[in-house]
Amino acid sequence: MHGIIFELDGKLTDLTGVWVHLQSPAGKDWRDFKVMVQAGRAPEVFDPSGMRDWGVPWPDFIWSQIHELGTFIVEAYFDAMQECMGQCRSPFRWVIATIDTVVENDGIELRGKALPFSPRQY
Amino acid sequence: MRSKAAQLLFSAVFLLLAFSASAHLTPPALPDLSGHGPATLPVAVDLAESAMLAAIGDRDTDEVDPDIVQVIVLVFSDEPERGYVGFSGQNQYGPIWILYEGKLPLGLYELEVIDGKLSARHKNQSTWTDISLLHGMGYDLSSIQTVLEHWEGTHSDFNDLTVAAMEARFAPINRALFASVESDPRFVPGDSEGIAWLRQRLDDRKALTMLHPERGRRAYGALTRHVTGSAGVMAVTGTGTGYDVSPQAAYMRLCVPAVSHRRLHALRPAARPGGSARNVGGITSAQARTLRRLLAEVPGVLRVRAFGSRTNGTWGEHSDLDIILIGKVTPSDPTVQAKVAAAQSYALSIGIPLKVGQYRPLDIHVFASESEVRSSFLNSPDFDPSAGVPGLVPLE
Repeated sequence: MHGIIFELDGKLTDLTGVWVHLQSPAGKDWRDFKVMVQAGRAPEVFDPSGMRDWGVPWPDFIWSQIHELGTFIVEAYFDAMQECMGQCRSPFRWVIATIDTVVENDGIELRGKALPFSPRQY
Repeated sequence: MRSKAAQLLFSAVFLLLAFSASAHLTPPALPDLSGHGPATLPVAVDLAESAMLAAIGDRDTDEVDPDIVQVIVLVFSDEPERGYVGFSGQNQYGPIWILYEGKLPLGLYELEVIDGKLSARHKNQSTWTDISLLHGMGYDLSSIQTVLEHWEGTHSDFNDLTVAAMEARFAPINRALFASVESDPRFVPGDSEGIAWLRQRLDDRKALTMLHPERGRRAYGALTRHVTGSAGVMAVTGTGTGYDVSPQAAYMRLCVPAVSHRRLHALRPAARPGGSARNVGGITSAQARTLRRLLAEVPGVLRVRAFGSRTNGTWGEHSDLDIILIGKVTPSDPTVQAKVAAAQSYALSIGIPLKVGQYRPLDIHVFASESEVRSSFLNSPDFDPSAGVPGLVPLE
């Protein structure tokens, strides 16, 4: 196992073709997504450079990065996940539109909304 | 190479005369190809065909008209190590022109096919550069057909225009554009001779083959005989993103016997007030420069490009700004993050809003190259040829 699970509408999906472009999904054909990164994989995905201070919970660290850097860092997270799984982000099929919750349990779980990739939108 | 080109050229000239007679078009003056003039610009049918093939993808050669009688290449650039290579050609149906994007300095270039690859060499240099992979095209003939149908609805007389009529319609603007290009400080002074040669040739032919940096980016042409069954119309389509109401855009829209991609028609209706950024809606040119500088300082960034609503005229006051950083960037690097955060803060300070209340004003993506962007879109199962791929424009 790669220690990363990605689900769309509760169905296990691979990460190939997942792109990130944070946006409001209002009025669009959005789906719920969940991605679970096992604890052992968290540094590799969310903090390869070891910037997180000890004692700072992963969700706080991740949220602070998202609020400061936006799409740029979420794209990096998903790129790292795809690399861990030997998958790639293109050709685009799905777009991560929002990150709604970040929770730490046995691993790090991100939930949000995803949209089918529609080239016309860009 | 050149003897082959000459043979093909002879054939092309013959076909030109034959076609012109049969189609009742006014035969344009044949170009004087002897010696290629003072500039070292080769004229090669096969080169043009190669360029066309590269531009429109791997297709049967039957889909590319081989009767091209003139090929000229110009390179424009607003950055020292970067340029846009334009191939312009002429055949019996009218002009063709194709743009390539790549890392070439400004100047006039000689073209050759070397080891099966389209290569360019500055006329003052001895090194050949493979430019076969530098093209920035993202459409196919079906998309050209789509836009052609749209265009023919509003320019229905074009098929009926004689060469002389086209000349009358477009030559004045063509001349004006040449004058503006000649005075452009980005041109290598040593190329003035070549420009003069080119202008003379174009004056002789009264061809519509001028290109412009940025404005013409990702535009490309293909003969439409194969998609329409009619001759005399040249299809050129550009992304339109980054266009504004400028003389160059007007030139593209009005002067090239061409069709424009639908995004071109999404232009803002009025010219922006002085000081506004050329390619990005809602900010000034000075702000665009600052933002570009901040983003260019991100370690690993080779080029900064914008795309999306703020570049194609569909933005609103709540629109963020979509950015693509081309290069090898390590997002987890603390220095990278600090630079990106600085750019985000600056964007916010100049009025680019947060998105949905939490995300940053800049949607920044990282790609290794422009071609990676294109392939990510082109290979998508939902790719729509008529919409094309996003136009990536300089932040200026």
